[in-house]
Amino acid sequence: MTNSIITKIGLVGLGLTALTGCDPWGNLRVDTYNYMEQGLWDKEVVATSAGMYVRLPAAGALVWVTPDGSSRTVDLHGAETTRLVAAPDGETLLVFGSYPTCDTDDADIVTVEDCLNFDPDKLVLESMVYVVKNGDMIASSPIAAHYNALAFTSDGSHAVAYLDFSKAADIDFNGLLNLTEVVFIDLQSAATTSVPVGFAADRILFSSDDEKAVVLSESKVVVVDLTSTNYDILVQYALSLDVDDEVRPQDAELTPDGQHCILTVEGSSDLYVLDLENESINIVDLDGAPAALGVESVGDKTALVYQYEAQVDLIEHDYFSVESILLDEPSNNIAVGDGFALLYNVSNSNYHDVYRLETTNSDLIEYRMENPVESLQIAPDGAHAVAVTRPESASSDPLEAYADERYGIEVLDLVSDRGSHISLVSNSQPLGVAFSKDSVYALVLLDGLDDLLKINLTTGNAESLDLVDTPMSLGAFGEDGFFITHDSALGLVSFFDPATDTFTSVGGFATGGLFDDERMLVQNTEED
Amino acid sequence: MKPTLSLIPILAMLGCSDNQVAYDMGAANEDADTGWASEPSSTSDDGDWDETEDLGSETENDFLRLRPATTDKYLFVANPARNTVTRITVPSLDVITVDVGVDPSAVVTTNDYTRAITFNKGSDDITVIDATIPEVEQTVTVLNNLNQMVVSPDGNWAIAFHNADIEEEGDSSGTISFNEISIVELNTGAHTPMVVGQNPHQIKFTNDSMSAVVISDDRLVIVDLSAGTPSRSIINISDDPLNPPRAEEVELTPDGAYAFIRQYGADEIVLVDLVTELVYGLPVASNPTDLDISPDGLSAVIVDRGSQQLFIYPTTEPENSIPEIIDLPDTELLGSIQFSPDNYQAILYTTASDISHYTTWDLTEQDPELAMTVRPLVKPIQQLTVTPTGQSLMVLHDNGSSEDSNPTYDGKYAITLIDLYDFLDNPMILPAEPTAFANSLSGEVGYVIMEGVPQLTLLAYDALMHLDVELKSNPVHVGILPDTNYAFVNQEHDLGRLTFYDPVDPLNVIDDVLQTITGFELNSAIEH
Repeated sequence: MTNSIITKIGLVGLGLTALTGCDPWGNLRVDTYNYMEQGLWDKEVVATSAGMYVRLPAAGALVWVTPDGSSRTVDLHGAETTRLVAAPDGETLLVFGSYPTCDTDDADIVTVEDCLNFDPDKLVLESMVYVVKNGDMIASSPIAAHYNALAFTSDGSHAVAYLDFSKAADIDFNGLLNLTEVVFIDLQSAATTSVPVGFAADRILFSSDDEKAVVLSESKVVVVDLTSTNYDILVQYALSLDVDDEVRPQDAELTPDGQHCILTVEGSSDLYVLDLENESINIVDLDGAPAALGVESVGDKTALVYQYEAQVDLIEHDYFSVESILLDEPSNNIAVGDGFALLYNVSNSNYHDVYRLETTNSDLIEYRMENPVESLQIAPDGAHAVAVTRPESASSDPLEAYADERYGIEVLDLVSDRGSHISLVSNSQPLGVAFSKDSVYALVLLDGLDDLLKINLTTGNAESLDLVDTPMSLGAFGEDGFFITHDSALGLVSFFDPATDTFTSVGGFATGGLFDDERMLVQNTEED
Repeated sequence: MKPTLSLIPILAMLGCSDNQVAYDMGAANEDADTGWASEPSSTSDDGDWDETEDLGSETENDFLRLRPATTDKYLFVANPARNTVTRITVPSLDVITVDVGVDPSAVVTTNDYTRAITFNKGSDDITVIDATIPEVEQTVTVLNNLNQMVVSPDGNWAIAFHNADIEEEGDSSGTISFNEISIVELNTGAHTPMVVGQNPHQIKFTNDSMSAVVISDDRLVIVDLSAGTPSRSIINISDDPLNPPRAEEVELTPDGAYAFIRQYGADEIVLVDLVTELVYGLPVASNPTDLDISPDGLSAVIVDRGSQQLFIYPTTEPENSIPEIIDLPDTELLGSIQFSPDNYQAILYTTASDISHYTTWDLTEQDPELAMTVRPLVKPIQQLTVTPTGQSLMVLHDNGSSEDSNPTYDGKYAITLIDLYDFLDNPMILPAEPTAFANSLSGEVGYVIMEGVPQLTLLAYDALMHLDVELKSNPVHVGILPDTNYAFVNQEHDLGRLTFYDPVDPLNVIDDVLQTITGFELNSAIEH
């Protein structure tokens, strides 16, 4: 789905219902067709408990949309937003952005265009991080522009900004990047503190009490004290003693008691176990480089699967001894529930198996999907899981061929010891799956259908609910609600109340980018 | 002639300052029993032994300087590359690393388990570590060009010296002496340098730690440790100052009154009265190749391979005694002796010739003709050891063969377990050359590791059975924690690897406990 749209005067006929009071057409850029590279709104919306934040790339603005049908712009003091991240407290939003300033004392230069005309080199974009709650910016702080990822403590009191190298291709920066630091952010004050943690840190874990952060970087793991004023480093673990031997952490988890950090290494069969209490390292030898790991708290064990080995390793957390269990097919992904881990394969292969591994007794229950799994989610109560499957090469058997050529939704009974599951075939690609809070049903969006499917997880019966427009994405909202974004140029989202099966749609909040307003410079103050 | 050895069971392991019974093969000889030449030989055509032929050394056990040291709870491993010592708690396997001097080449624990002491060859000092905390108590600078350290039974003294038997590259600089030793009082750190005889080979403490005896080729030095400051007495033990015979073996009587010294090629045993410092010659026949104190401490027994006789001197006033002489079976060539710790029998054998026999000497039998019994083996002896309880015998065989060996075992390394009560034996072919073995003090189990084979072989002595335990990498050293059957195996790994194995019930695989820690050298790089 492209974010580009074609705007035209006639757009007023696109079902826009809530344009604001002033004359919306006076400042249109041209009176003919105009192609906009960026869409008016970013469909990757971020929901909090009370509303939804929508980024308007063309306008450089941020909009706060609430289920009562209202929307308004969040005042970021002239900053353009680049990235939104919701904190786990359900209320706080962190916004990365930048505002323009002009490096001159000339009082007549008040707009970006003024500055460009005066001297393009004097135009400076100041990168900032903003803390937003309930539609209002409550704090801000400068931050380097290259940080593109955030990790939060569970209580939402702190965040760590770091560079996610997997998404670093479009980083725009001037001068030099310091790739050996991450930035700790106090979410009450937005105060930022740079902490040297090693090269290319791209994974941050937090202790269960949110008092320590474990930062993983190349060949190094650093534990940071979140209770100290300056985010003091408590201990540094080297993952290698040879500078030529680069150890790149791939995946990492803390054990349920928080004592150990378990991390896998790219291309290595070494599983590093860092004892954070006794400050020591052990390496567990695996049979190969694991593709995924999952830490399960009831059995207090870690499960590891391999890309090409039909095997799952179960590791207890006292002595980290390994129990290897053979599978019929390799799994390369793990979803963890209470007392079990679901093992499945999302590689571009024809593997059909999903396994439920009981971590307390190592029992293995096999589920055979009709088609290969594309994604899998566990319902909140852990009694069911929903797998989205993808088409595969058709079998010669007509019945099987029908399913082979189509997408599917498979509901797995996780209480069953026989691998019971319900298979639903779809002509359209599922776009999103979400569960009701009581785990009675799953909501599913299908590509191209203006319906929301409500699937009973026990019976498999699906109920179709009409949507106001073609859906694009589905997400959880608030305590028990959901939101749906629609394919509407000027912005359209729906809030769904599952208790009443009613939708509240809000549209037209993305018109800001249509108008060619001059962009004002922001005057730096001492506070800034 | 009747053997006169007392039959009093002996519980104490005389002269055994190690708290385990572990041996490594392939390093320098500690207690080599030597003959006249270097290469093994075989019987002459007429079946008699050619006395003029070079038969080479008899071999008992060897040592490896980097052998880990143990207490009842901890294992200490020196990490020369990182200048640290790692303490591993058993069975929790908690790891703590302590910085010591440069290139710690040996680590020793005191018999009371309170301290670990490292000899740091690179910085010419020793580090005294409180074993329980563990923290460095003190570092004491010693002389340069030393390469071995011994610690007194009471744990109060350490003596570092240059053992000429250890082959090394010689990286010392400056003025070098081979005749100097460093004596360190471990409670105060007081260092006393001292000159002893030329090329000291061995230092032994008396059981009460009141004195130490330094054996050199030409002199024996008695170091009096009873006063605050060590003092020495020098005793010449060779009549030929220009070409003194090599002092190969010294045994102290349990009361510390006498030292028996066996010299290369000498026709008498040198006896030193450590109280009066008088020197006597105790006559033997022609070529003594082994000297042992009986387990009850009452007799010194010399094997004279040249005459095929045993010479038995009392340890009380031996200078005034006439030896008891026992003729050995005239069909055999015997050069070494090992007593059963229970003092009920001794094993006579040779490692210097390709003979597939051993001879048992029943110490309860008064008639020597009946006391000695020649028994078969499948192939010649490489090494032999009686288990600590005296109930079993383990014989290692190299991959050679002899005229009287079993062809099935030709060209293969082998091990034979023998029950010393009924002499039932179980010879087993090994996949490679054994490099080290260890026996538990309980006599229940032993362990063998082999060159290039990632395997620990358990020997269950009661049943004469074996069990192979797979390791993660090739083993380097094997030992047993004191007073347990719990084995530890140091293995090849760049970052250090130890496997701990508890057979629980040696014949029941199901209850085995196998734990491996890898990468403990990374702990030395943990920073705060």
